[in-house]
Amino acid sequence: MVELLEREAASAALFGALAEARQGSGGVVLVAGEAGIGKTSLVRSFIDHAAGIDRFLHGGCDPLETPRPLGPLIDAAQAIDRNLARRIAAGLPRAEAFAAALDLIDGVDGTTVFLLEDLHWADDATLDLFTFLSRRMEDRRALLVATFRSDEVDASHPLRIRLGDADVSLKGRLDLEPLTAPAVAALIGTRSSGTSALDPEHVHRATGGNPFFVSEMVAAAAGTADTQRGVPTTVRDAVIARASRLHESARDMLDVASVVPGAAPPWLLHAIAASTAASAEDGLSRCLQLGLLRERGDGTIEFRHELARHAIEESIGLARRRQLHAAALAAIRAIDVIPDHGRLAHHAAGADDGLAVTMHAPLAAADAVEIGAYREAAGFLRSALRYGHLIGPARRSEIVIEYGDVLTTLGEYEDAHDAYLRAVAEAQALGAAELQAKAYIASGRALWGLGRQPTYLDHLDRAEHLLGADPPLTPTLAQLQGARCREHMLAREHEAAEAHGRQAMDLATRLEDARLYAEVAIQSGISRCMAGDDNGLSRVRRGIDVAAEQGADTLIALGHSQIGSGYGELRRYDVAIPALRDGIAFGDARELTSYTLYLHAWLARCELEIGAWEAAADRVSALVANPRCLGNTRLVALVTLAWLRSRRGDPGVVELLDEALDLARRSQHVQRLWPVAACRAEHAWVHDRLEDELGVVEEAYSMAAGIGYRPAMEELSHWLTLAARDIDVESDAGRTPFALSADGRFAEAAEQWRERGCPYEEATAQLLTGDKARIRAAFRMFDDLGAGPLRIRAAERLRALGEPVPRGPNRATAGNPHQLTAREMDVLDQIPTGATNAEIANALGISERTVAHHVSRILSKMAVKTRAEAAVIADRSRSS
Amino acid sequence: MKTYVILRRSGWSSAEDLQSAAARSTAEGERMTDEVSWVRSYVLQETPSGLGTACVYQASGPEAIRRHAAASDLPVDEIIEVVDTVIVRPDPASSVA
Repeated sequence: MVELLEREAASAALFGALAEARQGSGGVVLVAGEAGIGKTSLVRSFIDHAAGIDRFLHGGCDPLETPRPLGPLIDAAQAIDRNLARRIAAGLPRAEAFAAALDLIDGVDGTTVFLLEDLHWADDATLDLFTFLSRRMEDRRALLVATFRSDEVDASHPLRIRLGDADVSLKGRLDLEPLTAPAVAALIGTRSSGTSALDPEHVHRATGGNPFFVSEMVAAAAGTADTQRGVPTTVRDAVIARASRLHESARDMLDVASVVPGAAPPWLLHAIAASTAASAEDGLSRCLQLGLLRERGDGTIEFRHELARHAIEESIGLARRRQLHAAALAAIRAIDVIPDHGRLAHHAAGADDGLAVTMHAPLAAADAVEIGAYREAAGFLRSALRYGHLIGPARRSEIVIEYGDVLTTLGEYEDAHDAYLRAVAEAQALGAAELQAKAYIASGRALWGLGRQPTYLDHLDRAEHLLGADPPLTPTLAQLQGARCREHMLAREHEAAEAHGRQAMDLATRLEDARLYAEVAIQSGISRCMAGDDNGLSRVRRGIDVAAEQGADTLIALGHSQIGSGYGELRRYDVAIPALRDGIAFGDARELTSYTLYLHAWLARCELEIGAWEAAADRVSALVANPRCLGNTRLVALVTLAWLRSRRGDPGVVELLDEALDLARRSQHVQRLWPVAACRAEHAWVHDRLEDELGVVEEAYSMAAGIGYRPAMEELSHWLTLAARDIDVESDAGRTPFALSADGRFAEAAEQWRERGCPYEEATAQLLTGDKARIRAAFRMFDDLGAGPLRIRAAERLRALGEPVPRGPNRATAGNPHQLTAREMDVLDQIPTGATNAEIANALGISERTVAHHVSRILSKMAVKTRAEAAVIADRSRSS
Repeated sequence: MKTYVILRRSGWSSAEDLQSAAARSTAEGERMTDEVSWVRSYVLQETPSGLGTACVYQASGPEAIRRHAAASDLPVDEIIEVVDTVIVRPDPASSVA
């Protein structure tokens, strides 16, 4: 057993976390440090010495150029349930794979430790799994331990962003430090049997206290009589120096093992060795004996450290390295039942076998997309395109389009756009009109992300032109109609969206393309809803059902998201809020973060509008602080938070609205600019400077009027009217109560706002009526909501009208609805018993006259005439 | 974190009330150390009776201040952002929390 030096605090932290986990308070421990610092040694030592671990799950990430999605989960599952491992490897959908991971953790009556190693090499799906599990450790008897190389996780590394997630129950982050000089001396002492000629000070300086480097240096110096020998200056040199003194068979085996990232099963090593004329058996046992290679629990062989493997691989001559990779490729291909395309692509690239790369890499990419590992998919496709000259031109263009699609999903819109244009150019050179059209149509999402709608509409026109006047029935034609439908929906041009939507769905049906059908059903359906026709909702739901049949998670997510945000925009909370909650639950189970963030933004906005300000505050302030909250999501969140702050009278409104305006202007769509304009107007109006925002309001109004989008026009008219601008509003045909208030019909507007469940708008309308009873009602509503500025304004109006301002709650009596003092409450308690004033006075130890005084005040506050009525009300509120 | 002045008007009827409020505020503050930090408070005499406070806090935002107040059962009447502090003379007699 390796004795650890200077790791007492870190070990203690691990043992402490385990003890808490055993009590049912689970969590995550991160172990970070530079390569070779001893993260694995620390964790291994902990596992070996710990008592009370009833299940140990272990998965490691490999330094493949493009890692296998969920590789570590497959490894972990392998030891417990081979069937499950196989199913995950074959492509289990995310929700099930993640749920299965939780089952593995929960599947024992006791405490589980799940070790994820080398997360800096993790693929996106594994990183999402890590985040998913981390959020759920809190009440489990489980500990999730994750190791990573801190020097490889810089600010741009995807792991870094996930580590910043506040939801994770982090028990500790252990940053392992290099060894001190005395510790280095001790390590030298334990590693070198007998005296060593190495000077500990020198070694400490040369190695920087890195334990692995130290031990390699010691091993390199051992067995040499020559004490004057030069000391290796790098780990690489140390490793190579050690390897150079090996027997040929051992050196051969080391080379063979070095081309297989991570751990390799013995049969593979033998197969590679055999086909490259290396002497296998003998070599392997020598390496194991010398400790250069070691055997894992599951029988696979690995280097003592990745640094060593890397050093050896690099030192092999290029030709030989290619030969070894080719042998590995052949051997794995011959045996693997479920091909690991990523690994095959890796060896193919190493062997410079272009044809193999172009065969396996795109398949690996498809696997990666299925599981949502988009970065890996992009890597695989790039790998394939490197050998693009070997791919037929038509197929190559298709791969370029797929590459563009993946980049779009990753939010890398510029690069995606470049890819699409490349595909267009190549297709054009081929004279392949349909392929060119396909590329133009695919470019939509990237251009949307870049906020360049006009360009996209131009692309669609070009695609249409390329397909010809009487186009044949092809998927591309269907995609074109679908794209037009989506663009019109986004522009709130409902009739056009419906027309193209119907065409697209018809074509999709004839082509039996269920996914396209589902997508168009969702987009065209929600478009109808936005136009005011609830029948569209059943079409959206049909689209979601079809998507579910196809297992198309992203389309299901799109459906929930469109219902939630669409009905949110229409202020139809009965539909919007359940859809948003369903969508969030769907997304959480699959760790679809950017999607759930968008839904949270809309839910916060709905919560704001129905008056649930505390809930809205919690939700939206977390969002705005989240670095992954970007683009349109951020826009919704910023405006919601700005509205909340403005209504409460809190600081920090202007900077939010300035950023929001900037974001909104990047798109050409009215639904981005309209809420910003409305919020800016409201904030300005409350502070008596509505004039300042009229420019923005008018800008938004003309955008809305241009397409006749009534909900936007009405809300903006409301502000224009308050600014004494003449605006024609058909208030009877209004879709929102804003139409009524824009026409001065405030009382009616208030009534409608009450029906819709928007208390702040209702109170504002009441305030604007000028009627003292209504203003008094408005005052109470603003007070209940905590809307400081308008509460003050309502009070001022009342005073101006000569009305008494309802006393603010005497805080000593806050929390009781009629604002009785403590003493009055005592008296009230006695009333239902039918006690007389004299009896009450007796019970409370006060004078009868005082009781009479209290009773009269109680009746007045409760606005009732008799004690009996007061008793009934008190009873009712006591039991509610 | 930014600095804010928080006005809590007529929140308490007595000094004892205020003291228990202070204890609650401290306890809740311990739970939210990276979101709110209580710097100091001036206790105000309200008319006709009762006490209020003007508090100086550092916080990640007004929402954190309100969340802290809700958890500690403290009123919040107004939150104002502080952009600069000008100290002319030391405070007169104060009681340390």
